[in-house]
Amino acid sequence: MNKLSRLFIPQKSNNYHALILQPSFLSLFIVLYLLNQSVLKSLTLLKPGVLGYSSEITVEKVLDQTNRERQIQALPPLRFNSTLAQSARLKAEDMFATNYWAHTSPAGLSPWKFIRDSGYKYSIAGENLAKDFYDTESLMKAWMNSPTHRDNIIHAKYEEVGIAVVDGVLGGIKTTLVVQHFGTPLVASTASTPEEKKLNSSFRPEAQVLAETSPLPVSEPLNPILIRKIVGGLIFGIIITTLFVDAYITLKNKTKRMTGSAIGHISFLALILVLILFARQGTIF
Amino acid sequence: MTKLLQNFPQLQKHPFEYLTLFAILTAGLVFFFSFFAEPQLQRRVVYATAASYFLWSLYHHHRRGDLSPSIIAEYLLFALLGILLLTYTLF
Repeated sequence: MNKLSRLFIPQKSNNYHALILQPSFLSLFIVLYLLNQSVLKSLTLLKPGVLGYSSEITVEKVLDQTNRERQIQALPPLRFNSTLAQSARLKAEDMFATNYWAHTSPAGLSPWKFIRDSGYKYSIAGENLAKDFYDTESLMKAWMNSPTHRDNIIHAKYEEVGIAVVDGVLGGIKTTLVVQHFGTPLVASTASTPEEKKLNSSFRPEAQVLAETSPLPVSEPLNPILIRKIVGGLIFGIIITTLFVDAYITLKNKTKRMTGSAIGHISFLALILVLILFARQGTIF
Repeated sequence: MTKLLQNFPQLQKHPFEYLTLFAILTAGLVFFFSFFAEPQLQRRVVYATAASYFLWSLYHHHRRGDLSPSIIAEYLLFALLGILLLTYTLF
């Protein structure tokens, strides 16, 4: 009991500074937090499907990182097209509704059908799919490691892209589907060259990243965002509570000690909390 | 207000230093939300605010005459923890 009180209550045995707030324990919290992040990332890459919804992935982030990859290749950025985004969304919703994970639906609907039905007239088009990723970075890494997906992302002839990030239940598992529909509008394209015609007639539904090697687990998936929030919240809660207890007892006993300012630490952590709580609402797209 | 400050002798002793800290944190808050749709800039604001908080601590404790490696490590780790909690949750 005495050992436990040393963790939270300033006293002679801990040099009048709660152990939790001392550098050794703060370092331990940081290591534990980083370890938690690494385990979550590894789970995504090694066992896709174990993790559920990913609110980390947003259309904006996927677009931003797609264009960053193109920039590296000295290619012009893709324009976001709302019609292509609509076709991507319809494709994702169709996969959830009819419970399949492929470029062509069991009913024989190809990606081009969704694109055409949305009203997008193209000279060339492509599709990338992904699921079970919980952050955009891992998703983009997987796409860029796959030659066919990479080809779509850094294809010089694409001018526009539509992206959909849709949460739902597929095969009884909660997941996030990401659909990218690439295209070049028919009217905007230059006069057809044989090469373009060849591309035009050889729309290649791309192989799915990780999907083929990710059998859907039967058990209820873990939600990485929730795990991250719980671990972060626990660490935050323990530290802020200890800070208040430590400051209260020190003030009450008028203890003179050489430690960091409790007011400073509490103010800084309060700012972090405000940013997490309010910025989160603003980033839901 | 004076009565409230009496409960916090540190605030009473170093009002301008704490005002500086609150100004740094408020600036961080304002800049963060002003770059609403630009995560890259928001990330930089977080780093800058944490760095300013750390620099403030060096100045504050230097003025108090109790700057020590342990205190430096404490602030550094608080700043790092704040950055990690925020960036891993938001970005």
